[in-house]
Amino acid sequence: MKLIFTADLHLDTRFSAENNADVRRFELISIFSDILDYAKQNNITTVLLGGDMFDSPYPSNETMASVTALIQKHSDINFYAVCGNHDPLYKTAFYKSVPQNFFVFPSAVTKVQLDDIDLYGVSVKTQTDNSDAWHGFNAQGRFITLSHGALDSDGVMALSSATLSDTGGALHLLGHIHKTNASVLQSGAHALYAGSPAGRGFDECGIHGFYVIDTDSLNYTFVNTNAKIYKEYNVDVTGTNSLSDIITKLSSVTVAPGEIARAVLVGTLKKPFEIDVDALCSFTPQFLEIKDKSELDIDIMKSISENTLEGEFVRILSSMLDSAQNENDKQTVLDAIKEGVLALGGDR
Amino acid sequence: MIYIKKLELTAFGKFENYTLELHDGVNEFVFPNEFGKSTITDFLLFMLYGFQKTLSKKILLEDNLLKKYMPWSNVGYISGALTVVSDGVQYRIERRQRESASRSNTVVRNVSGQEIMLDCEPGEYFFGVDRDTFERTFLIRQTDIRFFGTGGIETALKNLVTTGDEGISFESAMEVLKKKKSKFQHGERRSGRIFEIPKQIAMLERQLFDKNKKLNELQGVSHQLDEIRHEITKLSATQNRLSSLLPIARGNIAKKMLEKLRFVQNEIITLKQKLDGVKLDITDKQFDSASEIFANAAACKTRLEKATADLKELEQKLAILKEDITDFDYIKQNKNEIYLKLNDKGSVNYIFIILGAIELVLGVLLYVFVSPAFLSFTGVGILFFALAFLLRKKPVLEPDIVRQYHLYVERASEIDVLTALVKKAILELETAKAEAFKNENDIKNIKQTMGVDSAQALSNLRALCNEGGLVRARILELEQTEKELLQYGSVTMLESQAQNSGELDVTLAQLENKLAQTVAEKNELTARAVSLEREAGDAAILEKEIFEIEAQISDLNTELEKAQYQNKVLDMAISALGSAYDRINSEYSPRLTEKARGILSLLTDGKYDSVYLDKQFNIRIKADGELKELGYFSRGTQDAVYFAVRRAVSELISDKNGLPVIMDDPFWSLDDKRLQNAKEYMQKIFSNSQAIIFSARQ
Repeated sequence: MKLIFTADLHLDTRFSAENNADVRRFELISIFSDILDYAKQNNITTVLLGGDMFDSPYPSNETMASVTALIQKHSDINFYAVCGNHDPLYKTAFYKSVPQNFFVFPSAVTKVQLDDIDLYGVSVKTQTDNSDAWHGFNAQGRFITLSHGALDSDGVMALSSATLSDTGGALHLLGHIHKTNASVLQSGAHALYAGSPAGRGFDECGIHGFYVIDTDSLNYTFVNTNAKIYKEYNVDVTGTNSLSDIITKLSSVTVAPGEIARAVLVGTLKKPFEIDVDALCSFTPQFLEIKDKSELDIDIMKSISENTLEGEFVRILSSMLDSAQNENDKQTVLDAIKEGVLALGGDR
Repeated sequence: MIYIKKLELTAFGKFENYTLELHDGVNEFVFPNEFGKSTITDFLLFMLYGFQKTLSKKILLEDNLLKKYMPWSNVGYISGALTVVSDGVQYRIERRQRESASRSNTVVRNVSGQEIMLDCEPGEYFFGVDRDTFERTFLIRQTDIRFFGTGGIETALKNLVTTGDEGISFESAMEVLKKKKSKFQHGERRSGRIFEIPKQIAMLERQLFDKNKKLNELQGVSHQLDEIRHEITKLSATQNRLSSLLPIARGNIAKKMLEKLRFVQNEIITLKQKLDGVKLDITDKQFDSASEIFANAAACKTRLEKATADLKELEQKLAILKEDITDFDYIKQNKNEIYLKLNDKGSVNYIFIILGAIELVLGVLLYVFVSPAFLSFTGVGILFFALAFLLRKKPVLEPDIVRQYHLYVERASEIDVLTALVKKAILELETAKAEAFKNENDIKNIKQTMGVDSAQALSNLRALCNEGGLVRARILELEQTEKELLQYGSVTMLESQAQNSGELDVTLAQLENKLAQTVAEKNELTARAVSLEREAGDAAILEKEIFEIEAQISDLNTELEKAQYQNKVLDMAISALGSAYDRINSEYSPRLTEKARGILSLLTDGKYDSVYLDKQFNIRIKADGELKELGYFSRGTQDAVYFAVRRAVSELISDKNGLPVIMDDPFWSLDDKRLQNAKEYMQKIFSNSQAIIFSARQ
């Protein structure tokens, strides 16, 4: 049989940084719907969810209703879900009353028999639940494990690859890490992170998708979703003197359809000028966000206006650059120079 | 040394293909008003640094400049060239810009016409200063002198002596920074986000504390609920486990019951077979009567057998007698006829009689009537008669019949005796048969009524009937058991259940008892859970509120962190700006005033040689033994002071004193004497560099 494995949908994410947060939230549900449509088109009747289906234990009623309706609509699909640290079993209202075709694994390892293979799963109890559920677990027969956690991580939701390997499972399906990944454990079994089926920010750039797994051969295929792709474009603003110069440079960047783009302004400015990123955004709608990472050419600034207040100001602060303990301190001084020079220039 | 050698205004405002040749030293051009002196000054700026389109307030002005200087000839772009000589080498700067373009198209060539690639503006390349420095150091505009904006000339001078740029005010820059900082932290008023956010956080934390307190109270409930749910889960598991054993237990019972049922049913069948057709309510009289019938039947049978044997013997004897008389019945029936035939002499031949009669008659007639000869005919007739007797026809009998007839006659009496005896024997047999038939019917009746057809069976039945009550009672008992067993379920159901039978160390009753206990316990806990869930529902709402407050606090902490960083940046900028200001004023201002004092004295023939700064760095001029504000003096004196300070700044703030200085009608308000002094000053100052002066006065 074939089954779909996805995880970390993070439905109902706030998207507070984005203007069209409602649209983005809807897009996440739409991606989930697309996955189920894919299942239908390919006669796949089993969908495994690797946790963090919701971004918080308290998703909105609207989102829960939408998800319930989707699951009920696909009544020929059997869903098997484990809860993640974002939507722990004991906290998330959705899991207290789920549709008939939606099975939630409890917080102890539990077996479900699929057509030709067993499935063992375990849910995360609470947001701070950091226990390795697979510790000491071992089962006979051919089976898959489904859980939420980061293999051999020092952080939260850590799972040991050794204990997972010792379970004797033929394939280990994992949620929590948002980037898709496949690795081989000591036992020779593969461990798969489905990754999130849609990026939710510029820290989740690139293509996202889900796995289709053949339980007979245990071969797996990664299928891309149609989710919008977050992508950063570095735009070199070296040599620019004005916002119009930057707009010209930004306008020359072609953003591919289906991308959510962020422009990162890089390069060295001879002299700071007020880079109003909001104004830039209004002139370059292809970018959701513009981030200014441009640097100042302190040497040039020191050499100009030598005997002026501005020159003296730059000299005083630039002398602090040498004594800066770290990059943060250095950045603070550079930002102070920028603020001062802009203030001195503002009243001209 | 660097100087500008040639200006070519190809298309710039009102100018079209206008050329101005220059040299090192002082270049004074006297043009009438409205000639375009400011236009030429802006052309120089355009050629060296260009006009830029931008969104900022400042460059919008330059957008206006671009528009302003679009050629009147409507070529659609401004263009021109500037020839610069640097250390004896000549360069030509060519620039062109459309109104819609954000930047100009600029080409710099060397003397042989080769293009030199620059990564900066030509002004920066040749003069080594940026546009701002150039403007505030080497460009003195007419507007600088006449129109000083809101603060007037005093502010411009104050800015010059405190910042080195008349357009830059230390106070306003500091105000901008402090205003910005006040958004984050305003020390005196203790306002700004750095103060506000902790207050908001504190308020949220109080809410959080209250809600957590409530939640803790409810969490007892929640814990209880969790425990109960845990218990319910365990009980459900037990219930499921026990329920899963039920089919086995039921199967085991069904299997046993089925075995018992089958035994009972077989027993019933056996007993019923035993009693099959037997009527157990037969009386002794009926048995006696039946016994008599069977006895009669037995006697009758003997009689019948004897009669049969007798008859057979007689018939055999009779058969022996009849043995050679194969057609016995025919002989017997026709014995008289045979006898007669045997004794018959035969009948006359009537033909010969007739013929004789005819011959006789005819002979007589013929004799009578014809001739007596014909009497012979009568003889013939008599012959015929004789023949008729001679030729009589006797009956013919077959010899065998005759033989048999004689045998018959010989044995007839014996046959008759035997035949009579046979008849008697037959009668006896018939009688016996009739009796046997009657007995048979009686036995049929007995079979019908009593189910037996033999004396032995009757005897057995009688014996059976003697114990029949016990059998019937057993059957009834078994039937009752069967009924009870079948009340439990049909055979099909039992068979189906029995399929689940297996090893089990508990009985169904124990299992059901345990299951009932589990279900009862679970129901009780579920009811308790329902009531606790209501309270837990409140806890869930609180948890959600706490989650949201924690998210708000987290957001505020992030904002606070950013605000603190911005505040730190601005503090650093403010501190550095203050230090820079102090340093400029301690080192630069005294030198500036000293230099300005010398220039002013030169311009005013020593009348005003004392330029001072008060505590607020305002310019004060000593006149009539008193320090007076600039407003006290004439406009010409004010302009002289401005020029002196501006030049002093130019000389002090940059080490690039060999650069050309461009002045747009700087001396319009000076009287003739001061104008003359200024010119002499210029000749002296710019003997080794270049000054370009546009003036309306000779």
